[in-house]
Amino acid sequence: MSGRVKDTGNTVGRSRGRADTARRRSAVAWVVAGAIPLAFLTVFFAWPVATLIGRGFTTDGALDLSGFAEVFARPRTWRIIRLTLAQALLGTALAVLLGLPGAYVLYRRTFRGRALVRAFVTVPFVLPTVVVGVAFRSLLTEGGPLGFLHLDGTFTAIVLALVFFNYTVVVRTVGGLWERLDPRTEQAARALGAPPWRAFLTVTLPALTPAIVSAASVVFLFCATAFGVVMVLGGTRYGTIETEIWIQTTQFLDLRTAAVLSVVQLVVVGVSLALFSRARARRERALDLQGRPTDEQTAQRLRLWNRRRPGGDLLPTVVTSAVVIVLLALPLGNLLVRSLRTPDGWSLGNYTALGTTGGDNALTVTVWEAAANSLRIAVDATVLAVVMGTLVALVVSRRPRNPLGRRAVWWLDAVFMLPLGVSAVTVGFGFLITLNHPPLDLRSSAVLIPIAQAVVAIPLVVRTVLPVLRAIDPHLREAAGVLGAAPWRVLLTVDGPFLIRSLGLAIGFAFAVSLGEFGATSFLSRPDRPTLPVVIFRLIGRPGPENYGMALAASVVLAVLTATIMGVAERLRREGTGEF
Amino acid sequence: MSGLSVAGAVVTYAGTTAVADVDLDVAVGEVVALLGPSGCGKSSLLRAVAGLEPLTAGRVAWDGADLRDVPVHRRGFGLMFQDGQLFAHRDVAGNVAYGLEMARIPAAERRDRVDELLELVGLAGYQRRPVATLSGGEQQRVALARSLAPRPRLLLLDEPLSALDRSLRERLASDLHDILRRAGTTSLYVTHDHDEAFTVADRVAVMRAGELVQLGSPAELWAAPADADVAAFLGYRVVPARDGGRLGLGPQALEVVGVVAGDSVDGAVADDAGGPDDRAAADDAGASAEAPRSAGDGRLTGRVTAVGFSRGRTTVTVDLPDWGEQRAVAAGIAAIGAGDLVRLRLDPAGVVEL
Repeated sequence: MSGRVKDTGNTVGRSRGRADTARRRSAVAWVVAGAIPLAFLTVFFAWPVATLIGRGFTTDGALDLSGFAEVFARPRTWRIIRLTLAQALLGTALAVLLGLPGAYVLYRRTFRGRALVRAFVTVPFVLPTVVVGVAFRSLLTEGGPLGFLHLDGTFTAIVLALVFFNYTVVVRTVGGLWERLDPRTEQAARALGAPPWRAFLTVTLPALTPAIVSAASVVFLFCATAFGVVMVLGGTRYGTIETEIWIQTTQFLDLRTAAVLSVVQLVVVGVSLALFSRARARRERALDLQGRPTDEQTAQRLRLWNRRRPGGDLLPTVVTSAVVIVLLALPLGNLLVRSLRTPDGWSLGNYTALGTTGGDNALTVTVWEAAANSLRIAVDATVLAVVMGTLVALVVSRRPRNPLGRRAVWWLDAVFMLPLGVSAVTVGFGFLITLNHPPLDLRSSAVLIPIAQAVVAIPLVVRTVLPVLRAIDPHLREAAGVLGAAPWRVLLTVDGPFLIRSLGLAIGFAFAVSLGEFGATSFLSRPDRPTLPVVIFRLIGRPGPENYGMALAASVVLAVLTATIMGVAERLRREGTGEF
Repeated sequence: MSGLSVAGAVVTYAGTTAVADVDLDVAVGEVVALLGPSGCGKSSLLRAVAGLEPLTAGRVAWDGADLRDVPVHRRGFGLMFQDGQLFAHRDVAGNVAYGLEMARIPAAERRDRVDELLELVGLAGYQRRPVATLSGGEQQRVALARSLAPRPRLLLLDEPLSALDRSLRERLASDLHDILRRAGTTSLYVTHDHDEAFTVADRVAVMRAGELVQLGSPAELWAAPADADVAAFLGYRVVPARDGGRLGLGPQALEVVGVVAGDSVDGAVADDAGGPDDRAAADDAGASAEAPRSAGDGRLTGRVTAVGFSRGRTTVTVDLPDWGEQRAVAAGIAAIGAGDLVRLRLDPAGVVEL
């Protein structure tokens, strides 16, 4: 009898020891998994950016804040800050105002062709900024379809292009939540005597607020750090902190001013990010309360007329149609049409010219060569971003038992959002001043651009994969464990299938971001190996209808390339994947 | 005609008919339950009355006035859902006051009414509580208070207790009965639970496949179900009768009166169960014990296949020759086990002919 008891005790002791070892081993594995991307981010993001900031604060190794005083004493600085904030606020407000009816029509109502419109609305977001700039310019320029509005080179044109860009963000973020709101809450309000508009204001809008705030912060972030669009549309009169950093560095060679401006931008971005993360926390809390209504309950048929009177759907439908046709379709259609027009009439001349280096040898390589460059770089950048981003998402999706681990996971999540906010120009500029001398001299290395683009794309990969992993019911992992799966097999058999589903979209995002990346690339690309956006920007800066025509054709090529990749990725997406 | 009057109501969804030609009147102050299995169209009918679903044909009227062109928020009807649908961004008082705000009731009056209703539903003092901190039962009480606050002409309740666990459901059903009577609220109550319908309602309308099959008071319905399906839905077990018709066995229709142990019935048990009837049954069993059989005079013998315990009483599952496995109450019989041959009594009061 006593022997049996002792025996049992031994077994328990031994298995506890084994469990401890296993737990330790798995903890070590997770720490390593987190350390790899963290090291990457430290070397290729934190270090360059920190060095850059250091430039703003020090002169010859001593603390020196005179740079700030000097930069802030210039009226030009204040004008740039004012312009940056004004266009970001206006762009955000307009995007939200127009995006709300869009979210309603596209996510709360069904109609024939909804899937098509939804897909089309996504296109602008993935379009390279340079392409958007070129598209708006060809629309608004003298002699363009909307030339009579005289908006070319105006502040309005920039804001409109920003809204074009970010409309999708609002529609998708808000629509994603709206789709899941139980319509019966609003019906309860209606039954309690609230007319439709009051039910919307008092019940639906408060429920949507977290998503709206979240979308607005992201849009604000994108607008405040807009580069390509402003570079193409703003000319010399309008700029943002972002373009100013570029101008100070490349035109005036004033690295100190550029560094100070980078710090200013970091502050602006930091505040927005803080708001963003708070809004996200609230959003997750708000969603806990919702059940999952069925499609039948949430998506009703679009009804413009109700017993021959204008129905509640009329206004949002009109607004959304106007936005989709005038703001989204017109610039893109116009870009396509114009790319087919040459001085000798309609022809594919602009496209055949892509095999040349442009009028007066505007370029050092042909556009097709640049496109091949872009694709090669995009493959490298995508591999880097997806590997790093997935590691981060896997680590961050864990829920460690001890508070230390939980805090570490929280920090890792927050830290990897930073590149989303720190402007690409700052990253490129930082690379330029840190990675061009020992210990790490990558100046002439072909990996520099892919690394910079990967830094920009990692947050998007994380934000695409993480929600999917977080949505896995922890009980599922526990069930697998109880059924005898070792931790690595749980990861493989439970997380794996979810991960793979979201990976298609993540790859698409990373690829599209890399193809269109202009901010960092414009600093880092070498004249003999430019990417497509760089070439387009150079072409529109050169005189001659031939170069302009080539820029249009190249923009179409780039747009089609990104849209195709996103289209394929989108097909792999499942309902409710990702945040954008 | 005062109160609610539904005539020839038809509701269709994308070609399928959810409600087919239903007539129903609810008098002022009356509580009528719409009872039926899920998918029978009861919720669609309720939503049509609320104005959330358009009628394909027929009409819904209040006090004789057609409501066709009256939008949801002008009907003056209250609506309560299965899962409360409380406004998460408002506290308890804010939720209850919502309808009063829509009716532009002054703040002071609103406060009094909120206090009064929270008192009525048994949540006095809960005014400032965030709704997320409430239990499921408390949330439903708040939802009820919210629906009652603007004094609706008609209260529509859509499976208000279905999301709760059983004991809570039973308690809240009887609370609901009292609260609705005290508030004097005309109500239409949708449920798939017959016990709940019988507890809460004055009259019960049984629906099946979009049609109204039977309408009557709980007692009427229970005494004379319209057909076998209704009987089965109300909780009767439908079995073949000897005359070729069918019988509905109520939950207490079968009672074990004694265990047949070998050739004799356990006398002590039979004595305990008491009654001359049992004595006679025991004698009968002694005559031919072995084979289970049904007797013509309402006495049966069957083999116990399982013993259970439910609501404080021993219940057994007995395999009967013509009726298959049936449940029976075994009150006061201690030693009973699977495999025992038992003698049963059929209580005529618990049986309906169909």
